[in-house]
Amino acid sequence: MFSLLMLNKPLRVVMLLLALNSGHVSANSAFDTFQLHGFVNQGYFISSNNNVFGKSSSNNGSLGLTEVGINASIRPFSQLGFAVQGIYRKAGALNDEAQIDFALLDWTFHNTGNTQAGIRLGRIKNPIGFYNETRDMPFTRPSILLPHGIYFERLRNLYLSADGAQLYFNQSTSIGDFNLKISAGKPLDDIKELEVAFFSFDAPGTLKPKDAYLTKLEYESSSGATRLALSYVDLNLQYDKSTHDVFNDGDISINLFILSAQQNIDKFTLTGEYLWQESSVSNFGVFMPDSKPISESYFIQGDYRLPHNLQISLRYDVSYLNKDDKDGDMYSALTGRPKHAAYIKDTIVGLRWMPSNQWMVRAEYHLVDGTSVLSHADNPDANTSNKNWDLFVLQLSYRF
Amino acid sequence: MIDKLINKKILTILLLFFIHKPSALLAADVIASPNVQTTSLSLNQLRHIFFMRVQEWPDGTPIKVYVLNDNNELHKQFSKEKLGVFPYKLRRLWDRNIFSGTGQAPTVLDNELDMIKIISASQGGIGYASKTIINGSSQGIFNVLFIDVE
Repeated sequence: MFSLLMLNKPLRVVMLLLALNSGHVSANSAFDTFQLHGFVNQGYFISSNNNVFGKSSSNNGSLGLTEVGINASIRPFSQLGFAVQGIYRKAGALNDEAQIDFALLDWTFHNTGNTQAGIRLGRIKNPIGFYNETRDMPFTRPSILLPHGIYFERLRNLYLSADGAQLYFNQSTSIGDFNLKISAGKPLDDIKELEVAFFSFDAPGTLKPKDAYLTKLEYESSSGATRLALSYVDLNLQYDKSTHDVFNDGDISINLFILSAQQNIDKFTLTGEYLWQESSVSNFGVFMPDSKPISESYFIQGDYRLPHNLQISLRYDVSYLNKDDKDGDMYSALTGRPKHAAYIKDTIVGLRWMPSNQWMVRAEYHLVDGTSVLSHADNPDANTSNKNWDLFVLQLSYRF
Repeated sequence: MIDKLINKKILTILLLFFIHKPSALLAADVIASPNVQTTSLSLNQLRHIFFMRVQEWPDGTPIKVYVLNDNNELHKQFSKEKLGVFPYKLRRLWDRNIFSGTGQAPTVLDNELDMIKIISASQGGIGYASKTIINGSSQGIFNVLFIDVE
């Protein structure tokens, strides 16, 4: 009954005879390439103490993370595409705003199948590590909270996207695909949280991002089982002093490398990323002598896929503001803040359930030592923070 | 009248068949719209099309890529056996394309019948269907092109 009925075999046309009404024939046009996608995400946070995205340490916890994104893209010519995404994000007291996440023109000036090369112009996502380019899209994250020390929440706006240009190059080979991206641009402006992170108080002048240069080289095996990436970022900021200021006009230059690796073996995925970051501070005057602290962070995560679209994850996530001051002794002496504000060590157990392509439920437990990644906005007094704490997070996400 | 009854029966059996078919029996063939001039693709070419890196057939017709849901057994089978990539790689590529503005994603269809229907009615469409094809009557004939993968 269900035999293969192949008519006109030489013509390679097979007639599928189905007991259905035939569909309507429609003509293709440029508008056929129009696509609309988006996501909605709601998180719930409850912690023993210390606040994450709102008053999570209160008895009722916090519904402090709401993310909505919608994007449209069209490719009227095979070489030319346009894409735009708007996001709304409420994240505790840290942000509550809608912004244009990317808006770009993409010109693939060379495409021979195995090789693509092109340029993107406009507001472009910053290629940093495995996850930054889609950091707000919950389905692409490895957990509810991104690894703290690689995707600093407090540096979010600096990392998010930049207005400028990106050159890209893809090469397919017999062992897999190589992808190179080189970006230059001006990062987004709103970096109040970063200012507090740097100065330990709200300095009277203004800290502004100047420019950013980013490079990411990624390799992915043909099957997708192995991925490797090396990211390099050079970010420059300037401080404009106010009329009555303890500081002079100063410069901050951030140089960072991230090494990313992932291996999939059957139902098991192992992912790790390592960050080395030098933050060079200069010309601020006697109250902030020139310095070049080096931050170090890494995480290692194992995921295991269970039946019924369930996945269980285990992660160890570490970040030190200064790798030569891991315990925070020096940090505490200089800033008067507790030692544990100089680092974070987070052990995470997570469970993900994806009943369909469109829906995802996640639960996550964090056992934490240290507070370096906590936002000032949600934790105004660093001295009342607790060294050892834990956090439970639930998240419901929808995509289309 | 008898024709109609027979047709209904065929449809019912057919649908049950698609729902209950054990995955071991599935084998995906690459199918394309009847207007497509290409009859064979290399594995690399096929990958580039499903990775959304190539937008045109050699004759300049825009390519429209159709797939089934990530959890669909035929989709998994097509991804692993025909493309030689894990389904999660496809999802990752498409999500990165869409949510970083660097590309597009295929149109996701609900079932294999929709796939056949839509590809037969569109121009430049490409997708996949299981090898076992249906012996039916004259009501609704869908022409699709079978593409060899070398």
